[in-house]
Amino acid sequence: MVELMVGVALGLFIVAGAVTVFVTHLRNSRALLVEARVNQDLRATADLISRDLRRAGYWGNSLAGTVAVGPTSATAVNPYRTVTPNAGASKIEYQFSRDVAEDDTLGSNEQFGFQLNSGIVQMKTDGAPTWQPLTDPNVLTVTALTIVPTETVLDIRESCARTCTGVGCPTLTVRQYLLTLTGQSTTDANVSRTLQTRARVRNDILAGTCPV
Amino acid sequence: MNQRPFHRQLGAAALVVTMLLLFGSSIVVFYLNRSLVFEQKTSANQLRATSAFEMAEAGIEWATGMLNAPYDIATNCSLLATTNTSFRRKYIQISFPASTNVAVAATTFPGCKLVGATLTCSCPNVVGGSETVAGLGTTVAPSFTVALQDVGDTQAVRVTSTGCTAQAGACKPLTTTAATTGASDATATVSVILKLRPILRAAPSSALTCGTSCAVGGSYNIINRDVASNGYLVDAGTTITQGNGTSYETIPGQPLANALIASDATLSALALADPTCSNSTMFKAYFGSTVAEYIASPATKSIPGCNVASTCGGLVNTAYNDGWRSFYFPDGFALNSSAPFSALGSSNDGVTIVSPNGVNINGNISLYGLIFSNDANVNDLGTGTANIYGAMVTCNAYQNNGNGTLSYDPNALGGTGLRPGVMARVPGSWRDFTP
Repeated sequence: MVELMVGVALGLFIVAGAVTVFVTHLRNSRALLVEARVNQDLRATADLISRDLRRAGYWGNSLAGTVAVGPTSATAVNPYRTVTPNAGASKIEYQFSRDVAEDDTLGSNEQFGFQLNSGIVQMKTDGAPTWQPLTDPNVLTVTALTIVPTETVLDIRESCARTCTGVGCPTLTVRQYLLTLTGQSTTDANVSRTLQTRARVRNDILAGTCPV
Repeated sequence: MNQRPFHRQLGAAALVVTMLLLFGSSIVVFYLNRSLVFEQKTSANQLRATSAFEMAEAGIEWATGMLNAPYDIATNCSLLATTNTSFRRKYIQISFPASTNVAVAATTFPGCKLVGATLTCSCPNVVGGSETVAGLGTTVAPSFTVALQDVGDTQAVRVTSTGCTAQAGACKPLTTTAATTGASDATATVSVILKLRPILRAAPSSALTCGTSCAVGGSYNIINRDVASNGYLVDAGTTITQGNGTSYETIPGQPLANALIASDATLSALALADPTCSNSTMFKAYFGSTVAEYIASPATKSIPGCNVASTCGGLVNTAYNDGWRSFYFPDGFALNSSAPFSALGSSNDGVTIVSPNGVNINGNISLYGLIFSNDANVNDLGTGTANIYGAMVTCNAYQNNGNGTLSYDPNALGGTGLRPGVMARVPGSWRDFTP
C-alpha cells in the first residue's frame, strides 16, 4: 500500500511537472506566434511602402524632359514628379506612370500613397482616392507611422550656357524618406515592435531653366 | 530452460526505440515552433529578394561605369588596348566608325558575378543574329547581366539589368527568348535610360575663336568650306591681325570679309567676364561644364608634364591607344616630330584637348578635333605643317607663327554625333516593373 502511494505521488508529481512544462511551452509558443505575426505584418508593410515609394516619378516619356530645342522652347516637365509627404497626418502620396503608351497625363490609376488611419496602414490605389487596408486590425494596431523627408537640392546651374543667377535656375532634387512604423498586437498589448526603413526615390526631380 | 546467451543482448532494439522517440519528439518540437520556422523562411525570402534587387542595381551602376570608361576592353571587360573597342563602341555604338550614333547590340548580354569581394565580368563579342549571354563560370555566386535596348533616340539607350541570387550559371536576362529561370532562387529586374551628355554643348561656329584678339602670323592657312557654319574662319572678341603669308579659304563665292568676324560682342562679353580664364565662363559656353567638371569626368584623361615635347608624344600616344579621346593637360601641351604618331584622332573620331597653359605643335603632325586653350597668351603652332582638322578656341588672345593649316571639320568636332561624353541617367526613367 505504501509503495502504491509513493508510486502514485511520484507519478502525480511527474505529471504535474509535465503539465507545467507543456503549459509554459504553449504560452511561449503563443507569445512567439503573436510576436512573429506583429513582426511579419510590420515588415511586409515597411517593405511594400519602401519598394513602391522608390518607383515614384517614373515617366515613360522621360527623355522629353532632357531636351529643349531652340532658345524659347521649354523642357517638358515630368507630370509624375511630385511626392507629398505629410508628417502631421502620417501620410505620403506619390505618382508614377503605368501607361503602356505614355500619355503625359496623371491618370487616376497612377496615384498612390500610404497613410495611417485608426491604427490601420492604408494604401491609396487610385485618384478617387480609394484607400485599401494594408494591415489586419484583428492582428495588428499600428500606433505610429512617421515620415521624415530628406530632400537634397543639387544646384546644376553650371551646366547653363549663360550664367544663371537668382531663382529658377536648374536644380536636381534627390529625395529620401525615413519611415518608422510602430505596431502593437491586438491580443497582447505588451507585444509592440518598431521598424525603420529608408526609401530613396530613384527618379530625381529636374526643375528650373537656363536663361535664354 | 532455454536461456539466451548474454553476449547476444547488444541493445539494438533500445537504440531504435530511442531514435524513434527522439525523432517523434523533434517533430513535435518543430510543429510547436512552426512559427519560428516560418519566420526563418520569410527572413530568407527577404534576404534573397533584397540580394537579387541589389545585384540588379549593381548591374545598372556597372553598365553606366563601363559605358563611361573610354578605354578598350577584352572579353573579360578589363583594359586591353589591342582590341581597339571600348565597352561603348562594342555594345551601343556598333556601327562605328560608319555612324557615331547609338546603335545597340540588343542580343548580347554582358554581366558579372560577385565571388566573395571580387567581381568577375564577361563582355562577350557581338555575334550578329544570335543571343550571347555572359560566360561567368560555374561558381555558385550572385550575378547580373545587362541588356541594352534602343529607345528611338540616337543618343540614348535603355539599360535593363537582371540580378540573380547565388547560382552556378549566368543570370539570364528576362528579355531573352532563350531565357530560363536558371537555378537562382530569386531574380530582380531594374531598368533605366542613359543619355549622352555630349562633351561639347555645341561645336564652335568658326575655325578659330579667340576671346579677345586673334593674331594669325607666319604662313598659316585657315580653311572653312562648311556651309552649316557659314564658312566662318576667325571669330574674335576684339581684333584680327594676320601676317603677310596668311591664307584664308572660305565657301566659294563668299567674300572673305564675311568670314572674319572681329569685335564679336558676345565673345568679348564672355572673355571680359573671365579675364584670367579661371572661372570657366568661356569654357562653359562651349562645353556646358566647368573645367573642374571636365577634369573630373570619367571620360577625361589628365596628363601632367606634357609641356615637354620630347616626352608628351609618348604619353599621349599610350593614352590614345588605350582608347582615351578627351584630354586635359594641366602643364600645357607640346608636340614635335619626336611624337610616335603623325596624326592624333581621325575625321570621325576626334580628340578634345584642353590646357590651361600653352599649346605648342611643331612638326608634321595632324590633329583631329578641338583644342581649347584656357590661358592662351602663348599659343605657338610652330614649324612644319602642323595641321588641325576641327577647331580651336582660346579664352584670351591668340597668336601663332607657324606654317600649318587649321581646317574646320564638323565631323571631327562631332557636333551631332556621339562625342566622347558622359552617359548620364535620365531622371524619371528608373523602373523595376513593366508598365
